[in-house]
Amino acid sequence: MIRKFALSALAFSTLLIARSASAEELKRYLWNDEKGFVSAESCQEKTAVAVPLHVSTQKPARVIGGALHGIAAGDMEAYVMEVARTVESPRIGEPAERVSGSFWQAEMRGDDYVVLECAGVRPARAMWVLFKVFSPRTTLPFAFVGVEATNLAIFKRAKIHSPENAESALEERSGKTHDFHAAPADGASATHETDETQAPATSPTPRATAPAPGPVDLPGTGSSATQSTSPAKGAGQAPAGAAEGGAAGAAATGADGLPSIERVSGPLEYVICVGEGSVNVRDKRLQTTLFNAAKLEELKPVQSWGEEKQSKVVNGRRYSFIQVRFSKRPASANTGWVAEEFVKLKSKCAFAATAPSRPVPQPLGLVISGLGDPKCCLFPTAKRPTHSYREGMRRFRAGRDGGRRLHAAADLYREKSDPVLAVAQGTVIRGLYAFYQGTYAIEVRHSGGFIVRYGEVTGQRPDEVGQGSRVRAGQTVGFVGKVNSGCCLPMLHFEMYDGRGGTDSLNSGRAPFFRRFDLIDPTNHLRKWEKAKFGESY
Amino acid sequence: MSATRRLLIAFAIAAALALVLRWLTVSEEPGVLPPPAPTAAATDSASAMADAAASDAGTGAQPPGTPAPVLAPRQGRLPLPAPNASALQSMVNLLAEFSRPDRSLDDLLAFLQGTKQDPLMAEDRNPYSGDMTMVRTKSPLQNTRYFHAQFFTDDQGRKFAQHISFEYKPGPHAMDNAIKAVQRAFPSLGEPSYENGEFRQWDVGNGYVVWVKRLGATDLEDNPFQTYGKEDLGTIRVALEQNPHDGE
Repeated sequence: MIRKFALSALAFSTLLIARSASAEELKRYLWNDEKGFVSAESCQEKTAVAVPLHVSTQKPARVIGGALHGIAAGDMEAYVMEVARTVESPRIGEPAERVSGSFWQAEMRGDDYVVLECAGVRPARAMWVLFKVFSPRTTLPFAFVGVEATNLAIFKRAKIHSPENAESALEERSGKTHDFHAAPADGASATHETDETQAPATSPTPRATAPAPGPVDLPGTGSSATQSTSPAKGAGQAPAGAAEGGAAGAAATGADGLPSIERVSGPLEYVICVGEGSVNVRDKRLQTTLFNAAKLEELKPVQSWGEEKQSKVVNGRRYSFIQVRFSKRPASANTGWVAEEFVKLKSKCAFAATAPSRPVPQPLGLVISGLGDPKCCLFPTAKRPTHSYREGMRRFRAGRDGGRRLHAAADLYREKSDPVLAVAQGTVIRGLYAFYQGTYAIEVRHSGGFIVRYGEVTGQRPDEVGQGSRVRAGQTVGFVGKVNSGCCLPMLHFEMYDGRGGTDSLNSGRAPFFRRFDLIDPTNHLRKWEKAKFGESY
Repeated sequence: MSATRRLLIAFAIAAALALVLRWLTVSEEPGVLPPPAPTAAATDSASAMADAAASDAGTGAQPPGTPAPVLAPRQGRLPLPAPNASALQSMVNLLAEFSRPDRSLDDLLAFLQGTKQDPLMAEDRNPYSGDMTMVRTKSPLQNTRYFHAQFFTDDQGRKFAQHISFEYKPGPHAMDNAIKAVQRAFPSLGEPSYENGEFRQWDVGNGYVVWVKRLGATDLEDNPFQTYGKEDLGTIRVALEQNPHDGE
């Protein structure tokens, strides 16, 4: 008797422990239309900015997968799905729970979706969007399930709720409350500027901005009054039909009646400027959301031949849209139209982080006091130059322009796109700028105060290397470029200054170098570093 | 009819045909009139700028590789182009102006404002290598885009143009149009210092070069300021910049 009681107590305790397991310990499954719930043990968890699942905002609302062809849709993160009570394969989890009538919410990590990538599971290379599944009776989550764009039977006839409505429905059934707005510490993933949401970023509520309601109380999809303004400007004409909205570029009028010039400080880097959440990126007709751009995601505005903007009324408010491209996204899905007011220079975005760069970990022995330090420095190319930099036109002080000026650098010939390496620890004092014939330059102030201009590099910016970045010795700060004329092999144009030039630009100066007065001959330094690295020198 | 007379008539016909052909092949962007022939009373400001440049610099071809005579300094604000002036020519003329000494950043900004191109100015300051000012435009002229200028400060504290460029819409005659626009803006240009099918560069004195490039696939990659798609292949970039060195 006592033994029976003990065994029952043990079983019950186990059950309680299992049921009260944290969300992170929940079992993970995949939904397959034919097989039902299959184990997702072999899957890898990742995050994604955008996923190929959406909720169509045309009635009746439903979950749709894949590309949106002219369908207005909202993002999964803004909805909670109530699985229909008639769905087959009704139980999953341990202990098994009824799926029918359960509530499914996309799992987010910050502003990103959590997804599963599963090797050996069909369809191959699919992205399984992870949903946390809540019991309708207890409000406890009992499983994670990955759902993929071509297996959506689980959501057939599902009710699409806003988080508020889901909370109400669940409370009605279970008598318990659950907060579907609760989001990770850095705020909810509200989507801005869409027909699904409220106004962005300026809400005073401390809680995450509420995502859009579901089909029961979807707002109007917004007027489809899309206007295209393509001013046909001649050389002396003012632009016609300027689009409404858009904060960037709005200008007061100066004393001469002309618009004031917009002035900014810092590099010309554009970002999605919102306080939290993401922004819709639409197709050219502004009808369909192609993907969502995350806050502070880098982008470049696209300029057309004769500027083109479009405007559209969303939730009673007119937005001006511009075309942009996100360079860090794959080429097949990196272009679209965004409300102009959410595109700002990073230096003008109030939400951009302004924390200084953290010190870069320094390998032992490479902290130097300056050019004179015996430990200084490293050769600036990964492989040895193919030609001597001490001869011909490549050498420092070689005559130019019929001898009217002298070469202010040593040219290190390497293969195009070879990495260019920082010769010592330092700080990027000027990021990439146009230098010569389609190549660029970057300036680094190194330990001890000497400055190197790494010239004739490509426009490719290595990760973590931008204006103000700290770099370590040997870190890639650029890539060898080749000038347009094809006159010469690809090269690194290497200029050095001892740092006494103060605030004068490196290009200030007179004959014969037309450079700042503290320009120094890099040759002997390069030879020393070359010998240390390659065992020989030119 | 005597043989001499026949020869004279044939010569006259040939000369007339040559003139007609020359007039027909002065190609321009569609819908835009070619600039009028330079005259003392030219009313087209764009041509007036080119005319004045010719009178400053002298005329006649230069021997190959000889840097063109420096265009003389010119006082006063940059003249604004006429409403029907070619955008390409107007922008190339602007580049020519900045190969002269004593053209300032303010001159550039006034021009861009006057042509309603809505300039944006970005100051990049650091206490170690001085100031650089970048200028871009938000409303470029039709068939042009991605205007980009960089000004540095010399040892006298004055800002000078280190790089000014813009892009012109691709097309079957775009490269030819751009080259002709450069030749009109710099009348004493002489032979190019570099030339291949996709690129041409001339020395224009004062340490500046002007070049025209038809952008290929690799040129469209990795631009830190501009973004491109495949449809942008063949875009023409025209630039005035300081020459940091000549290659071999």
